[in-house]
Amino acid sequence: MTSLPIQVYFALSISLLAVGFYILSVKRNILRIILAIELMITGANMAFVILGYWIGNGVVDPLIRSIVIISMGIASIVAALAIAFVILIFNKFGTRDIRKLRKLRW
Amino acid sequence: MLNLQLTPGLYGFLPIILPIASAVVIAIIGKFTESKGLLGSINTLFILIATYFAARNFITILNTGIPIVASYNAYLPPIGSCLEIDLFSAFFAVLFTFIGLCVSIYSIGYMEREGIRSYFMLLSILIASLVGVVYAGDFFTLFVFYEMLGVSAYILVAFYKNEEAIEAAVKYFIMGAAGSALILYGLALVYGLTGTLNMALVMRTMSNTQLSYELYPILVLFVIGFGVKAAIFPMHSWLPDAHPAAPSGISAMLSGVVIKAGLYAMFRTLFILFYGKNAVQGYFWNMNISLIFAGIAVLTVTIPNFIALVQRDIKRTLAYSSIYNMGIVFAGIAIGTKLAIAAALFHILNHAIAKALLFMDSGAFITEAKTREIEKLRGIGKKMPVSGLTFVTGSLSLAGLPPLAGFYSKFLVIWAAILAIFDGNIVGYIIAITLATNAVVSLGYYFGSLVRNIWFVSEPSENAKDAKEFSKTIAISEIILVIAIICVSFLPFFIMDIFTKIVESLLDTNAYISAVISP
Amino acid sequence: MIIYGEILIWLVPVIAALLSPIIAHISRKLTHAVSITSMGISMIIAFTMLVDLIRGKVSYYPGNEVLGVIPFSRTMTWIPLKHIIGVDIKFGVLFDPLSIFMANVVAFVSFWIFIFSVGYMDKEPDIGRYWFLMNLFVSSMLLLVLSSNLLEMFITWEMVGLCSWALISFWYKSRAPSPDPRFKTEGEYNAHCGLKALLTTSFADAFFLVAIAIVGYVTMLSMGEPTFDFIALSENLSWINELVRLGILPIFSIMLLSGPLGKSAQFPYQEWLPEAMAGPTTVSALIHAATMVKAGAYFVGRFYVLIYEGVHLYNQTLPAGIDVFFLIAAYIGTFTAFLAGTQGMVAKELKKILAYSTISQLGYIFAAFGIAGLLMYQEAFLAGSLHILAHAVFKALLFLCAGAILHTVHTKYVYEMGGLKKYMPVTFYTMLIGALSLSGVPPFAGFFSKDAIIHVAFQNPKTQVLFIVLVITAIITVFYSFRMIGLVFYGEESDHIKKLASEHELHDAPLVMKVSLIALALVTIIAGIFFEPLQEILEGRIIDSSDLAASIGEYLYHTFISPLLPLTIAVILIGFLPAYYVFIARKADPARIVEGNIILRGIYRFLINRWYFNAMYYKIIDGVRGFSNQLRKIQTGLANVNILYMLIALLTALILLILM
Repeated sequence: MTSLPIQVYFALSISLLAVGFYILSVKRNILRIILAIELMITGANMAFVILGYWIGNGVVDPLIRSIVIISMGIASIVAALAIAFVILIFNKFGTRDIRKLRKLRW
Repeated sequence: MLNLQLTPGLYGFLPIILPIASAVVIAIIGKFTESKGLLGSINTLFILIATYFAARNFITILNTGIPIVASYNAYLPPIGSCLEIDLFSAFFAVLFTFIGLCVSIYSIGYMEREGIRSYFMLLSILIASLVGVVYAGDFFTLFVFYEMLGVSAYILVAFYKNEEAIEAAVKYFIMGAAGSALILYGLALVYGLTGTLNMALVMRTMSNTQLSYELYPILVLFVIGFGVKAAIFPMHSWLPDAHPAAPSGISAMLSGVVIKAGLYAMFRTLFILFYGKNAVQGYFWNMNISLIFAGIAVLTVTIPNFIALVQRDIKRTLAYSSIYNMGIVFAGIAIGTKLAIAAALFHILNHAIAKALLFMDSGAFITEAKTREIEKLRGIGKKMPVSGLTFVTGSLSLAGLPPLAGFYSKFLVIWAAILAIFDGNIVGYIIAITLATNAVVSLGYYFGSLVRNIWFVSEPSENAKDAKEFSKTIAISEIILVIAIICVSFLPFFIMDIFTKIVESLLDTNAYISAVISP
Repeated sequence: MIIYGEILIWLVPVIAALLSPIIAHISRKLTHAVSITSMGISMIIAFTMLVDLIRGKVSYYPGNEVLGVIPFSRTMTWIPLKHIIGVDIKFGVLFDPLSIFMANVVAFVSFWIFIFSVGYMDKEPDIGRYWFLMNLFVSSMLLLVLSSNLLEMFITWEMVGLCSWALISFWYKSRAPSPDPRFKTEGEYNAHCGLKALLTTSFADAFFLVAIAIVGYVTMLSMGEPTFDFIALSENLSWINELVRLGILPIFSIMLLSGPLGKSAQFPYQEWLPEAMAGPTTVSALIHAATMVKAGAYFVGRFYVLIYEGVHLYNQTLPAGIDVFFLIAAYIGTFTAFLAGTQGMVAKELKKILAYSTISQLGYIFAAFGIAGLLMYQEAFLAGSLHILAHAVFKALLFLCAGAILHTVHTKYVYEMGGLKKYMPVTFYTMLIGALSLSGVPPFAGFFSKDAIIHVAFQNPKTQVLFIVLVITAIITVFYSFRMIGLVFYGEESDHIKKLASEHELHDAPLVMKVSLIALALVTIIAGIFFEPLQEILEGRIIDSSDLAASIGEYLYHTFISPLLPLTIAVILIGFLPAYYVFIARKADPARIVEGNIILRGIYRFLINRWYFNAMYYKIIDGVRGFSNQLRKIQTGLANVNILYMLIALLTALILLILM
């Protein structure tokens, strides 16, 4: 199997992290923020897989497979919690704009 | 199937399993009854046993000097995940379960009947995950428990589901999740560097390497990632929001132990990866790393401390003070000598006990006076003498006035900073002067604002007029903590001896490694 | 000394402290009895130590063949750090002539003030709290003067500060109108005063603590292991050379002096002491005149002894440059003596006059110890130590008299008093004795010690400036002493006094208070005789009992017939005559004199505003609050910005690490 050099994939994972971070720090929409968090976790998982592939010389380390699967599970828990927060915010504040949540600034 | 390696490994699991079992039991019983007393007692009983086993682990390791390793026989480390308990982590587990026990007792009297089932379930899970974080023997186990900790903490902050709680919890959640992602990325890099995530193995692999550029991103990712939960300066902004919004028992947990768990995780990972790399003899970190840490520590100490001066909300003041105290601990870590680490540990102990106590007291005040503004709480300490007196004692300790213990730890950090000065470590001067002057600023709000308004008032305010002690369990938990403060204060020769041993055992990396990997 | 005396002397008051809040619920009388008994025991133990000292069993000499007994010290491990830095921090007591001398001063004065308290605090509801704090204070203070190392001294140092804070705010429950318009009730004002004292001294102590930590460092460099122990520091003075080598001796000196200056209310920390008078008068007498504020001066004296004995007993060369420490002490002390003395001339409250006078007299002690260290001049050290004793006694006496007056007339403003002489004869005569002693009139105790301080300043060409300022201050002292006496006891009765006298009989202090007053007055009169043997003791020599009377006579003769005698008389007359003319004989109206002259009015305005230092300090506090309010704005409340902080921190740390 021919493939791109590993650095490309690695750069992809870093850019996922960076894009996630960027969205978190500028976007107002709370749903986008949740997606950004998922993006960041995906980037980290991707880094795991790439490095596992690199260390295993073409075969991803089985330890890493289990780790990534668990990590995805955790990410889904976090996502579920995030959705719950979105619903709560909708009910209490009637907005999706994270910047409207600005009472606590003393 | 569940072929557990029995003694002493089993005891290692117990402080984690018992709180989780408690959560399960409460989930079942809570279906039939919403009685605060019953659910709380069950929870307290389980946590009490967990505390016993945590203490037992601690004493076992203190006596034998060999870390306890607990794992499945079928999947032994390094392949399987494991718990590895050395003296350092055992100490934290005792502290966490002890504070958890006090909070559990406190919550029986403090909490409303509504939602009590989920409250105690989440509290147990929080305690279990705290112990899990410190007992973890490999990085991924640590991460899993860390996420468990985070999720339960986010939900507990949002427990009241009012606007304030949701806002605070969402901010906490966003920062915490982003931090976790950074940690996960850092773990991936550690894996890429060493090919394993088992702490002992990583330590063995890393022990022969030099400090290089590949390590810097890992360092930064871990400091920032774990720094969120540890409330280190630029990542602290969730803390002043989350503490006031949460139920007071949870504020006590957050401030007393959860931020310490963050700091523990940060310290453990950094210790494994960076200990002694290109460092001067006798120091933990390389000078550059030390400088960066010291910069962060100085900011963490100074800025929240000044902000706390002008706060009007009692819990917010205490929350800012928590960040300040984390700064002191972080300053100790930044200096990175044996003395500094021991002093930082001592300060962690002092701050955990005293700050948990202060949050519990303020919770009692707030419940009675129905306000969080310090001005409106005037004179409430006189009306609630147990809470008032314990509040004053806790403030004395945290303000760093002798003879209470807060002074010793602060002095030792300052001294460690001074001792580090002329070994080329210029950060010592800055840290020493910063800590010394900031101690005065903290006196400004502890005495000028809190103690003066709670206790030294000629007539109580409108809100405080009819306040009274309303629960025995609150009083009991407060008294337990005050006794702990006094014991620590007047037995420094005993306590400091333990911290000395902890630091010594921490540095005995061979024992840590060989406990997992038989030579 | 009795067996375990070194522990019992401070443990007994601690036990009394812990008992008193409990006993107070049972019986007030019993509470008084317990406290006075415990204080009596402490005083007796202190006295047995003095006896040991006189018999030559204790001295500065370790291992001296003649004396055979080292300075007694007993220690235990307090913070074990042996595994980490190779040495433990100890906790213990050190008995040498200076510490025993101080312990006796503290115990003696405390005992009489405790007795006075029985009468003074008779109708107070919170007697349990009062005795708890007073006993705790005395025990901490005894431990402070007896402490064997710097760190232990600092701990007790802060403990006495804590007791001081709680006792100044003692009447926080009072709902009377506040003397300061910023507060609603007097109780809040009192709490504010306590806070001011605590914050000022703590700010000073922050630097003191850093300096102590530096001592722990340089000793490690020079001796191989860190130590805070006074004897060890004295045995090996090379740590000072280490400071010189590192080039931090001046800044170290300033930081080390900061703590004593704060505790003794010297410039620039002088502003807390006048406010500290908000507490009960017994507290002012004990803590803010006789004992706690002496701790700062005591530390400078202790530091001098450390160096002096290091040079003379252990045969080391005097470390060059250490005089900087004493130079600062001497100049600040002299300046403060003048500063506070001028403010005392215009103060309106009886206790504040005494407070300014306390600051001023402490300035004298600082000057004495400073000169001692500057020139390694034993005479100056002895003069300073004796002034500690003399001042403790007569200032406690003056404060107790003030307490008796306030107890009777229920006002603290001197202009609302007047003509009290006929109502309170005992108080009048004892207070007069105190004032005479304060003014340095022979043959009262204050004369000997103050004269000695001025004398040593005069003798040395280096300290001529100090001499001039101290003499001017002495004139001022005489003036405000007699102004106080005149305003309180002479002249027409004010409306307030007339009203009180018509309502019920104005009476002198009750018997239990009179006893203390008379006892302290007697000591003030006769103390001068004992100054000679006390000097011998403080120098670490054994008293030769055979010609004791002769040497005392010689000492008295030399003090009276000194070249400075005309100066002394002139000082007293220059100070006394205007005070007599205006305030005792009431030949002129002081208000009219001041209003009539533009220069005098300007000076008066300047002095009554306390040289504008107080206002400046409040401005600084406001500045800090304003700064904090600006800083608060980094908490924007925007989740995005929080994340942005994280991002910035991440990038900054990464870039810095890579660049470094």
